[in-house]
Order: sequence, then C-alpha cells, then structure tokens
Amino acid sequence: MLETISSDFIQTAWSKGLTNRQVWFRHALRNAIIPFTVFLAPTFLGLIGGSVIIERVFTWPGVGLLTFDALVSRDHPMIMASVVIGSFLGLMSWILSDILLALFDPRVRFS
Amino acid sequence: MKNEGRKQTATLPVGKRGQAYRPAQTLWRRALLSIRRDRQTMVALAVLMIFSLIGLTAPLISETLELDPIEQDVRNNYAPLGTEGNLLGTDELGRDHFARLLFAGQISLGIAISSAILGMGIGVAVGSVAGFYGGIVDDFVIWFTATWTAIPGLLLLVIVSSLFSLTPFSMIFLLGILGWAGVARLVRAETISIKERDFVLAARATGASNLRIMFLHIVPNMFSLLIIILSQSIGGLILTESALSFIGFGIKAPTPTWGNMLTSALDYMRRGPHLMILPGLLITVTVFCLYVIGDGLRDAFDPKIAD
Repeated sequence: MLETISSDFIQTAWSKGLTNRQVWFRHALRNAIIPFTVFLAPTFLGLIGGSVIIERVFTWPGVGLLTFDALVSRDHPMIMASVVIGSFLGLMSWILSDILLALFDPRVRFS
Repeated sequence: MKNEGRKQTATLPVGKRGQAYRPAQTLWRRALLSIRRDRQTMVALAVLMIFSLIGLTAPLISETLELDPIEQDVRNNYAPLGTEGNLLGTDELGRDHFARLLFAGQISLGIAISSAILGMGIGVAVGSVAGFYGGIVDDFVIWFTATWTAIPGLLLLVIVSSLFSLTPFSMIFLLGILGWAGVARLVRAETISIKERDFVLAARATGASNLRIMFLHIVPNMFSLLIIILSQSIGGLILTESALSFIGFGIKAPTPTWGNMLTSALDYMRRGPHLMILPGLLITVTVFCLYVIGDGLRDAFDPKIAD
C-alpha cells in the first residue's frame, strides 16, 4: 500500500479531482491487493499445519488433533488420509490465489 | 609525503594520488549507510550478535562457571532466580537453568541459521537454473515446486519427526529441504527478469560460460532480496522449531532447545515460573530482532520506499 500510494497514477487520480474514497479504494487498494493474493496460499498452508499444534495445545477436537493422535498411535492410514486432505486444501488454496490474482491483475489472463 | 601541508577537504577520503574523491553511490553503500542511521535495526543487530556470540561460546562459558546443562541434582530442584551457584535457578531435575539456556540458544539459533542457509542454497541453485534455461527444465521445476508447496510444511514436518527421532543435524536437513521451494520460485522469477538485461548480453559477448553468467552476474544482482528472505526465514524457522518441540516432536531431551525447555516447563508452571518465562522471552526477543532486521534491510535496499 505504501509503495502504491506514492506512485504516479495516484497523483493523477488526486489531480483529476476524485474523492477520497475513489482514490483509496478504487485506485490504491486495487493495486495494493495484488501482492496480497500471492501470499494467500502460503498463509493458508501455514494455518493448516498450525492447526495440528494449536489443537494439540488446547485439545480441540479437529482434524489437527486427529492427525496428532494418529501420529502418536502410529495409525498409518489415518496419517496418510490427513496428509491427503491437507494437500488437497493446499492445492485448492493455490488455485484460489491464482484465480484471485487473475481477477485483480488484468495483466494476468486465464489460459 | 608530497601532499603534506596541503589543506585537504574536510571529510572526503583521499585516494592513492592524494586527490579527494567521493565514493560511488552503489546500492550496497547506500544500504549500509541507511542501516547505520537506522537505530532500531542496529539495536536488533547488536542483540542478535550478542546472542549468537554467547551461543557459540556456550561450552566455554559453562566450563569456566563450572556449570553443566545435563548433570542432575534432584535435591536442589526448582531453585528460584538468583540462587547462589545457579544464577537463573534450576529446573525440575535440578539442572542449571543458565547453562541449559546457553546450550539451547546454541542449538536453536544454529539449527535456524544453518537450515535457512541450506534451504536458500538449494533454492538459489534450482531457481536460477530453471529461470536461466527455461523450457522443459523450467516446466519441471515449476511443476515440482508447485506440488511441493501444496503440501502443508508443518504437517509434513510433524509426520517425519514423529517417525524418526531427530538429532540437531537431521533437523537442519529436514527444515532446509522443506524451505527451499519458496526460495526457488522467487529466484526463478527474478532470474527471468534479470537475464534479459544488457549486461548479461555483454557478458555473453565476452565469452562467459552459462555457469559463470548465472552465478557471477545474475545471482549477485538479487543478493539484496536474498538477504531479506534469509533474515525473515531464520525467524520463522526458530518459531517452527519451537512449535515442533512444543508438541513433543522436536529434538528430544536431554539436549536442550528453547522449544523443548518451554514444553517441559509447562508441566511445572506453578512451581517454577522462571523455567517458562526465560526461554519464552528469549524466543520472542530473538524472533522480534530478526523481523526488525528484515524490515530494516528491506527499507535499506528498496530505493522506492526511501523517505
């Protein structure tokens, strides 16, 4: 956002006499959101992995704790299933972030 | 000396022939100047240097103070802070807390720094080769890193460490090979944009080999980016290592790390709160310093955000 707000087209937007809201939301935010979409997937993956730790610490009965229990009791099919689920969610998050990128950045096109 | 007596310009350095010259404003010199003026970053750097120095000299320090991180003395457990002989108290088995913190720092910092460097090395090699050659190599690397990054890293880490019992060295290896894919993607993108520039063409015209162009002309041009990534990934890796130890899958006792000290302290929180507070504080301070340094480096290297 800092980088975007100091660029030339924002100056142009101000000098065109656009309102505060138009400049911030339509010009600045739209461009500042592009790098954010790239970070979406890694963050999501971190959260999936982190759920194992968080659910272990607070003993919440979720997929993370299920994975942890499977690990402790060496329940291999269960471990495999949870990795597959996690990877599937991860793949979906990459696809989502790619779609969002194409949505926000007109230079990127679906092919 | 020929130039003696001649009045020299006040602050400018003097060259070989005695003429005053202004040092070239390279990216690195600018960055260095900007960091030196940035007090926050300097403090963080100093703290981190002190921690690493103490970590490196841990065996020396504990030997001169005659403290042992593993020797137990169960009759003298849960000694509070400031006990004579055990400055920072003792833990549940009567081991000296100060010595344990020292060695834990050595191991935690060592693991984080080496695995960050390992991951970066692999990432730079793979990424620059993929970006430079393009074609089928590039396709393969992209396919592989995309698959690799789709698997939640922490989950994989937990699984591997539950199946094998980890030593610090295998931990370094594991964290290193988990972290390279992201670096490889970044380096590939950067390589593709750099290799189109004129100086690469010039290097080729003078007959430089592909390998030489890659590692002496292209990679040095993204050093600033790499340093920033490195300082941030070290912080992340310290946290990962602690988290792993915290759920009991990290490096096993009696080898101390900040993470597994926290874990064992959790059970004895009431009797020895200092056992939990100190390692937690050290982790927090170290990671905070690393992030501050990363931020400072980004400001220093990015001419766009310069005020």
